[in-house]
Amino acid sequence: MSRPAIVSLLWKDLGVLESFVRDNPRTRVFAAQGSEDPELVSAIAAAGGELLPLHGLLFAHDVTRAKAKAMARVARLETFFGGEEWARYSSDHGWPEERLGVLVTRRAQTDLPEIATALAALDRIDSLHALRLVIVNEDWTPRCRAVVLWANEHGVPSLHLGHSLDLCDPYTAHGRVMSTTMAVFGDRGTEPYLDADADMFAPRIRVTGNPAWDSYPQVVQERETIRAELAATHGCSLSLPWVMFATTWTTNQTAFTEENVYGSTLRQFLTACKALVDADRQICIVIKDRVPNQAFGRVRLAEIVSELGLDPDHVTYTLDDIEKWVVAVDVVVSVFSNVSVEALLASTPAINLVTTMDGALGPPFDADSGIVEAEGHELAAALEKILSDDDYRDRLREQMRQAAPRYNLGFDGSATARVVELMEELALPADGRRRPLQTLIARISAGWSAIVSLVGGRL
Amino acid sequence: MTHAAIESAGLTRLNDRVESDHLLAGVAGPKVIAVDYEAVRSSLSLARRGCSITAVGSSPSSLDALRELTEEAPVEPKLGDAHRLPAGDEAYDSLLSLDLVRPSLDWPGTLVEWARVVRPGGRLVFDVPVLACGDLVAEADRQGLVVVDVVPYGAFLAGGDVGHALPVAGKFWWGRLLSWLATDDRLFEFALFLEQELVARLVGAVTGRHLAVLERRRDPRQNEMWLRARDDVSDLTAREITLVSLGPHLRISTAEFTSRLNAHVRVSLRNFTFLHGLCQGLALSDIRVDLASFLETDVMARLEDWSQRLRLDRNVTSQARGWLTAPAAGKSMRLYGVSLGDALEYYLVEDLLTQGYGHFSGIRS
Repeated sequence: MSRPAIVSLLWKDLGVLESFVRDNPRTRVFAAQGSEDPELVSAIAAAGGELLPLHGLLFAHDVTRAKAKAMARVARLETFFGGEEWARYSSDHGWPEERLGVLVTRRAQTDLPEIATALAALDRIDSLHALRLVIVNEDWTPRCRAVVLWANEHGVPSLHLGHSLDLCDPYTAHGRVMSTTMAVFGDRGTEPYLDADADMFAPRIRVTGNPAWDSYPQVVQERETIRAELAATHGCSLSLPWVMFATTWTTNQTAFTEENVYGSTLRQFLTACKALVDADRQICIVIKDRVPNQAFGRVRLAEIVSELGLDPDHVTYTLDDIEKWVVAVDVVVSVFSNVSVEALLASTPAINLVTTMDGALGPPFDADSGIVEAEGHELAAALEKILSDDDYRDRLREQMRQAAPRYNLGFDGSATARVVELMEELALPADGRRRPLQTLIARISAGWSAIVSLVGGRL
Repeated sequence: MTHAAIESAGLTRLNDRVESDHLLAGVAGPKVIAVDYEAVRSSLSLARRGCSITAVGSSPSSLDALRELTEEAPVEPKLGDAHRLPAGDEAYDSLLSLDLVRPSLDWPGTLVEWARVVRPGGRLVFDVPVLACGDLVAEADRQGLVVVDVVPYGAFLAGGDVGHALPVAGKFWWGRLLSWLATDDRLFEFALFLEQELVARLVGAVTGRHLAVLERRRDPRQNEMWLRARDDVSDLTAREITLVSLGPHLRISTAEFTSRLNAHVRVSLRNFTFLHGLCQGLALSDIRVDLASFLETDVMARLEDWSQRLRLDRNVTSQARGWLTAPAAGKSMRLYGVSLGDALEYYLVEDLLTQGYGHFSGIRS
């Protein structure tokens, strides 16, 4: 009998793989990420399984062949886009014939080789194992989407385990999820999809909680220790309130985002801090940046700090330990972000700095979440109220405690267990028997989703 | 707290205020009888202004609920039935009811009983769902009553038959936005302005819920005039609504109306979002509004900018998915038995927005 296997394109929540293997020994996990981590490899081995790279069964010539196939498809596309059928078709639809053809071809040149290699790997894994499940952190980016499409085509269940709680409408490419099942963190996470198409999504969505937040119930108990530890490491004064800004970034996936949102929101935050400092409110300013921003983040920060005349010694820049910072600081400010949700879970007062996104793509938070919302010009006053009004802070914390289960099921440290339970429920039998019905449903699902997305808008 | 409860808190605040204001405007005199829980709740604002309220409950337990509701307010609970009131003839200046009249009930019979306890010149104020104004006037004539007004309210804002008017109702994102009515005074004042200065000036077609004010006085001629004026408003909503066509029906000048409307929209991003949501809903409903006649240049430009972005999103999404529907394109993209065109969608959207339409420069800062 073939050895059971699962395929993972998770780039976070890798702990679910170890837990799954513990319940399903002998499982081979073929993973796009994680196999380079000796600790995880050992842990999965200790659990009775094996962690291998996604491409682990491919030889060099397999990869070469896959990439050659991809480039042959690109050549076909070029021919197609240069032909009369496309000219007619694009004209009928009012599309820019040449521009769209060029962009699709370029995109195929960039993405197809990697996609083809992944699919070659899946074919190989499938031929040698009883492939039970495919799990991804999102199914929009090219390789993840391709793996999900492959799984659907082959009757292998696919699970989209969101890497964040979706706070906004599923705009543009996000409007379709091809995975057979979606795991979201809380009821709030179901709302954008139910708004988009309740009939389509409701049967496919399961609420599990976020495995990445399983540590919060424990971490919040250690607030004082963590605060002291961070103070020692970063030189923040324990006697001052800590005000943290979690930076943002634009994916340029919707016309509603602004490319300067990183700098503009950072400037709004620091301007508010300057107003507090000028009013004799002493604070410790923490900028929690994202790793992709680090190349210019420090430079941009230094420029703005200098322009505003803030003391750079009072500003801490960090890329790490988001959980610890969320728990340790006195106020978290972020932009349409899951960091606000983490603050909510930690009962740390939080401000959502609103931008056009908040209006155009659906308000991220409701009035009962306990999360304060402020526009840039209102931020200083909002911060001051939180820092100076004990009763107000307590009310916000109480609201957050009440709201927490809506944003993250349970908040009991058991999301990993729930996700693993769902994986086991979805996975094919360990002998690899396919379910024809499941294949059919997956294909109908994907087809219906495509039709709806072509004819429908936000409403 | 559930999503429904969250949305409801905001709507309840607005609904209470709208109902209270309409009741205040509708009643005649200080002696009031309120014949159901909702009416008693809304009449508390009258009690605070010196009215004496008799609160009718149909059972001992409902009387307990009324006592709990009214606490220290000067309200006298009485056991009784809305169709056989515990009151003598002509004992009150006004009667209030907010939850009793339904088309399926014998509402003409109910009106007879209600009119009995109100003095000549006194008023009956009650909410009604969709009801033909002609029927109401005919019954008023028959019973010696004058229709003072039938005010639409609730609409898309405050817990009326929300599905009636705008397709955004029932969407979670709209509910999250409405939830802020409970705490955001700027949003609340904007919504209240729309309710009082716009919705209340229109007809039931936009709400599905009305507050009727009838006076105990016989005057069929006035009823006929009222009905004719009502027909004019119905005609208004049957065509595209413009500032010019709406003007005669407003209770404030068109200049003041637009000035206040635009000021409300400008005051916060959330208020602008509210307007945007309403416009999205209107665009999908049967109600046609010439927005440009109501909105000042900067507000209209911003609204158009959002609409343009929305169209661009839809356009690029349609292209990023649609090219694959060309039959030969689908064949070109088949690899390892899988049609892979959909896998290119994500970055193709960004490519289209950036290189295709120049919406982004590609440089983030």
